[in-house]
Amino acid sequence: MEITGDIKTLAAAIAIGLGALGPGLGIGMLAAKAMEAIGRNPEARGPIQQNMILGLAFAEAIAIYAFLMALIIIFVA
Amino acid sequence: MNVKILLISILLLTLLGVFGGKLGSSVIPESWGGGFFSSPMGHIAIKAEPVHAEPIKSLSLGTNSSSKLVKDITNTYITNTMIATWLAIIVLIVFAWLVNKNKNPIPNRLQGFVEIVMEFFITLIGGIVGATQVKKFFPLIMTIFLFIVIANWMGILPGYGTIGWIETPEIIKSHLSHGESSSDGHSELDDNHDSKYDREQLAKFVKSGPVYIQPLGSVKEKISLTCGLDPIHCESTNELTNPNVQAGRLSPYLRSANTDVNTTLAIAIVAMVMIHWWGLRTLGPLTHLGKFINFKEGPAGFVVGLIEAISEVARLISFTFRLFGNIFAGEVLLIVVAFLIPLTGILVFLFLEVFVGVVQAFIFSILTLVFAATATTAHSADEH
Repeated sequence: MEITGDIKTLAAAIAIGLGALGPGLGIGMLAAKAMEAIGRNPEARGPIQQNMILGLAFAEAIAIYAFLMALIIIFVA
Repeated sequence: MNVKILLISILLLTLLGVFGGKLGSSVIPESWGGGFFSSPMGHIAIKAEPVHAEPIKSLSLGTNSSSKLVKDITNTYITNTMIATWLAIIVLIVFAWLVNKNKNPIPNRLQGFVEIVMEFFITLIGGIVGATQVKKFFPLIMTIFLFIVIANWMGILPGYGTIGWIETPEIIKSHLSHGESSSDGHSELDDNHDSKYDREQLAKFVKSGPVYIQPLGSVKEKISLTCGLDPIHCESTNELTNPNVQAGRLSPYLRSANTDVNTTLAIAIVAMVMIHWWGLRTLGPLTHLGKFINFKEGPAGFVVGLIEAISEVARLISFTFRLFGNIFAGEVLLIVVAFLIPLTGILVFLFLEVFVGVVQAFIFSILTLVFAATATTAHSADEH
């Protein structure tokens, strides 16, 4: 099936919209837990921050896949 | 006093941008003068644009071969991301030379700053792989970080993405027909190819002195290139008769290096090859490859090994597209914001881009380090 025009735009919008939902929740939970941990144990700030950034990178990668799909829908498909 | 004047002028410019940009023109009717500052949105191309029209015939082999791969290899273009990459490399070399020129036991400011960054990474790497291993991993990790961060930060400098040459409708047409002829032998894909280019929005450039510039407030005049099934018969609406006006789209001479998948893929390949090289060197070929092709622990171990092997490929892909996606999305964001709120709207997002640039560089280098640390430790039996 070939998708063109407005449907294509809509498809890309849905792809990134739904695709950003999960990682958004994930990043929020990660940051919330990290803040909580820093609040409980302020001395462990450094390692917590580093590991949080690593976790954020993994969660964010999924949103990037969705972004990539949106790009493919618009430019390639 | 000066701060006050600065703030007031920024506020005024913001007001002008909000009411004069595309955002304002959708609220204020255009007959009332809304959108007086807005220009058409910049052309977003996922591929890096070549900075010259004719390909460099670098290799003479396969000139009579019609294979697309051979054509892609022999027809080399210098793209704008390549130039940006070389610039980043030159900047890094000059910076390294400046720092090394007068090294001193009592560091000056520049040396002190560099030492702070180096020490931060040395302690970081030491914390993950142990202080004895720092010398092995430090050069690559630091190089990846420095290259990515410099390339990202240079990509948001003024001049990147704004100065370039105008691709006129004729050049776009020739690109389209050329692109079709190079993908020969796919007749079933042909209408797919054409429908991609059904409509191209072009911008208007006005000659001012020796150069063409894009005037403010030109958003109202819409020029589009409509192509039917055959790209040779493209028609542009609004044929221009004034010789000082040129319709087309801008191909910048410089474009942020990491907005090209090729750049990020190259860094990712270097990182993954080095990770496996370290793994092979530290554990020996049998132990290292035994992680992926595992016959010792029964069928479950074999499946786990296969999954490990697949996840190595997934790491390569996610390395590539994490960096590319973030930086490309940032560039698109800047283009769109400059279209919606011209003049000052972009400022906030420039700060965001500076932050994203350093965070992505940090993530790339630290993930390389973490993967290298797991690759150099033996696969323990109590893991599963």
